Parts: sequence; structure tokens; C-alpha cells
Amino acid sequence: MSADPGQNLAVTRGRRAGRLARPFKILIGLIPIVVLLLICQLLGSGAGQFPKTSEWIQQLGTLGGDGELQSATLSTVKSVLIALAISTVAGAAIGAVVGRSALADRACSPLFNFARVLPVAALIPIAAVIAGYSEGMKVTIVVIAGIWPVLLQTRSATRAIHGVVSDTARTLHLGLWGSVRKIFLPILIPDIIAGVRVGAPMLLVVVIVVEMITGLPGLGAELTTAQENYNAGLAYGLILIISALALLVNIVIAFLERLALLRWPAPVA
Amino acid sequence: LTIDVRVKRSHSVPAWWPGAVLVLVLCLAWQLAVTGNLLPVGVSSPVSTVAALIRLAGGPLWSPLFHTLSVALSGWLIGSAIGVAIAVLVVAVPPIWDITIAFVDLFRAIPAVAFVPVAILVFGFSLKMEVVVSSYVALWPVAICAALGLRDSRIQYREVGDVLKLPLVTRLRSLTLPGAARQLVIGLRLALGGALSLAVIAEMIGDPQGLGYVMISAQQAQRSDEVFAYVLVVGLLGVVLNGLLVVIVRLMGAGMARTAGEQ
Repeated sequence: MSADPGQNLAVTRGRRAGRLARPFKILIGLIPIVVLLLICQLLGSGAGQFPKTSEWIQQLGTLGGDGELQSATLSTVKSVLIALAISTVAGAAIGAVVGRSALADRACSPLFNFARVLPVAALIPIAAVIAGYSEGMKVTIVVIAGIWPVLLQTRSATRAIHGVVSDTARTLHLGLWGSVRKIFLPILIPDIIAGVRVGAPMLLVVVIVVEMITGLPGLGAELTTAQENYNAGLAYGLILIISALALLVNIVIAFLERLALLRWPAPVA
Repeated sequence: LTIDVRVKRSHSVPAWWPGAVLVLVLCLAWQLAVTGNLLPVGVSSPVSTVAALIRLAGGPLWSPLFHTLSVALSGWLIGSAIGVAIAVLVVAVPPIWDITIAFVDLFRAIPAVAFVPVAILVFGFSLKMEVVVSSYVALWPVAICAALGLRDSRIQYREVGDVLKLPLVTRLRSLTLPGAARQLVIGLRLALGGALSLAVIAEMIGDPQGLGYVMISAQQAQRSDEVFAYVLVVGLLGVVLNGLLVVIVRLMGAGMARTAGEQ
């Protein structure tokens, strides 16, 4: 069995998506959403649980007028970027180290498996008891939750590296840094990127969950506040913003992936 | 071409011992660090966590555990059933595939958690709200994986069915379904994780029942030993549910289990 079922999906999906012109696909994909928004506009009531689309926009405008929407979006995006950087570097490093040693691999497997099935939200009360609600705690939880795709993908890729490759490094006296930089990193980068592709959308989700539960500033907190104030229009509007952000993350990652794979192409199996 | 020349390890030592040793060593180090006041106040030691777990198992644990378990399971089942139905429809009618595949990419990118506050507004602080959000999150991975699996398996095995002149029902049962099993199980596993985690999140911010709620209550009461115990329970619940999935796959027959890589 593969290390993580989700990764296979992402990799095959990535390959499939590459064949179609992406902008065109997104445009077709937007049609049902536009239709949905139109239906909401026509059938929605003025207030209550199903407000009109224009009401969503208006409520967003009110929030944006105070600059609150912008600062919430900014702090959500900032957390995602910091967590993405940390979890990519740390995940790749830990995955490579664990993947190199069969003993370390077997020793860590039970812990990894437990951590992977543990719902992220369960970590929030622990972090709150230890550190209280803070930005550092937010990023820590997000990293712990989002590190797995990169870590597991790198681990299985490292495990699959042929013995001849490390022998080559030894024969050439490359040293640790030299062999990492010249041999292992180029081999692993396609898999690290595949991990990031799965992990990055998860990071955004976790950031929003943490904000929703702890009330730390961000789009998640705005969403819970809107719900607590029975402001359905604002809640729907914020879902729109969050969805746009999620889409943006996917597009940026897909772009970076293509860029990186030009420089470090995936080895032909 | 790769030839594996490594000698197989002898079977006298079970393969899981390094894992068990590491867990024990970490627990010991954790216990010593807490007794030596090396960790921040609020970190519960393994001993007091287990003590809290035993105390909770004497009564207060079971009702929230059962609540979360039933929400996660029903959300998973409902979502998976809808997902499989969508997949069958999409694969059986090719024009629908072309239209849906584009916006599915968009829709599944929307974080399901964002719908929790809206679900609270619509359904109130209730069991129904929890089941709705966890079904929703379970629906996507099952629909996508099942659709990809069914499509690939149908293409792969169509000629086999033609050559053997199998009737439609046998074809579906013996070729298409086992051929799609690997992808389907991937989807079911992702869905299970999603349903459990959405159930816990919904309990944390919405429905005042279940493990998510008691966890937050314990945190607010500064009972860190109980918080750690509940987290352990939630993690174990995930492990047990995953094990249950493997059992279900095996029950579906040897062919299914083999193609799903669960044997």
C-alpha cells in the first residue's frame, strides 16, 4: 500500500489536469457557481437563513469599509504562508532522514499513523492549555497538521532511492551537504512538490479551523462572529472569500509545480 | 530494473518492536520532563493522562464518545452513499462527466469547515447540523475517487467482459467493482477521516455534545489531564474506524481486498 492514499489521488489528478488548458477549465467550472449565485439572488429572502447574493456583497462591503475584512484576510494568508514554509522544509527534512533508515522508519511508523488519523481540531485544546491563544500556537498547530503529506511523500520517495545513488555520492566524496544538494534534493523535489500540492489546501483549512475555534484574528474568526450575530449574509459572503482564497492557493501551487518540474523533472520510472 | 538483494530479516523479532520501544522511550522522557518541571505548566504527564482516562472511562467518557462515533459513522455512510451514486451517474452518462469534472475541482477546493457556521444558522445547534456537515465532507472524496476508479476499471475490463460474453450483472460484480476497489477504498478512507474531524469541529463550535464539546469544556476548566485523555480517545477512535474500514473491505470478498491492497 502507498504511504498516503490522498497523495496518489493528487498526483494522478495533477497529471490529468495538465493536459487541458487550465484557464478554460476554470471558466467552465465557474458557470455552475455563477448560476448558483443567480439562483440565490432570485430565490433568497431579504434576511433570515437564505439571504440574497446582493445582501452577501453588501455585508462584505460593510466589513471591508472598516478595513476589518482586509486585515482578517491578510492574517489568514500570512499564517498559511508561514506554515507552508515551515512544514515544507521540516517535512522534507524529517521525511528524508526517516526514509534513509529502515530502523527509524519502523520506529516512527506507529507515531506517524496515530498523528495522521488524529483530527487536527483535537490539538487545539492541548495547545490552548499549554500556550494559551497566540499567533505562535496557531502556526504550530497548522504545521503539525499540515506537515504529513510532504513528510510521508518524501519518506516513501527516499525509501525508493536506489542504493547505487548513495554509493555514487560516496565514491565521488561529495560529503553530506554536497550529496544532499547535488543528488538527493534533485531526486526528491518532484515528490516534495507533490506533497505540497496535497498539503497546501489543507493548511488553509486548518488555519481557518483554528481561527474559528480560538477566535484568533482571521477569516475563520470573522465567520464565527457572523454566525453568532445571526448575520447569514456576511457568513455566505465570507465563504465566497474563503473559496476564492482556496482556489488561488490551488492555482499558485499548480503554477509553481509546473515551474519547478521544468527545472527538476520527475525521473522516468 | 531494480533487483532487491537485501536478505530478509529473521522472523524471531516482530517488525513492530522499534515502534513500541520508541513510544515507550518518549513516554518515559515525557514523564520525567513533567516531574522535573522542564515542560510548560499545563502539560499533563502520561501517568496522570492515563489516570484521567481510567477515571473518565468509569462513566463520563461513554456518552460523548458514542455521540461522536454515531455522527462520524452516519455522516460517513450517508456521504459515501451519495458520493457513490454521483460517481455511478457521472460514469454511466459521459456528457455529465465532462460538465461536472470542471466544477468539481472548484467545489471541492472550498473548505468544508467554512460551511459549519452556515449549517449552525440553518439547522441550529443540533445533531442534524453535525450529520449534514460530516456527510458533506465525506461526499467529495468518495464521489471523485469512485468516479475515477469506475471509469478506469470499465475501460480496462470492457474487452475481458466482451470476450467472455459475461452478462451485465456478472460483469459489474466480478470486473467493474473489484477493478474500482482500490480507488474506492482510498476515497472511503479520506471520507472517514474527514467525517470524524468535521464531527469534532462541529461539536467544538456548534453542537454542545460529543467529544469536541467535552474537550473544550475540559480546556476551559483547566483540566489538562482530561484534555490529553480526550485527545488520546479521539486519536484511538480514528485508528479503530480505519481498522473497521479494512475489515469491511475484507468482508466484501477476497478479490476486492486484493485489488484494494488490504490483504
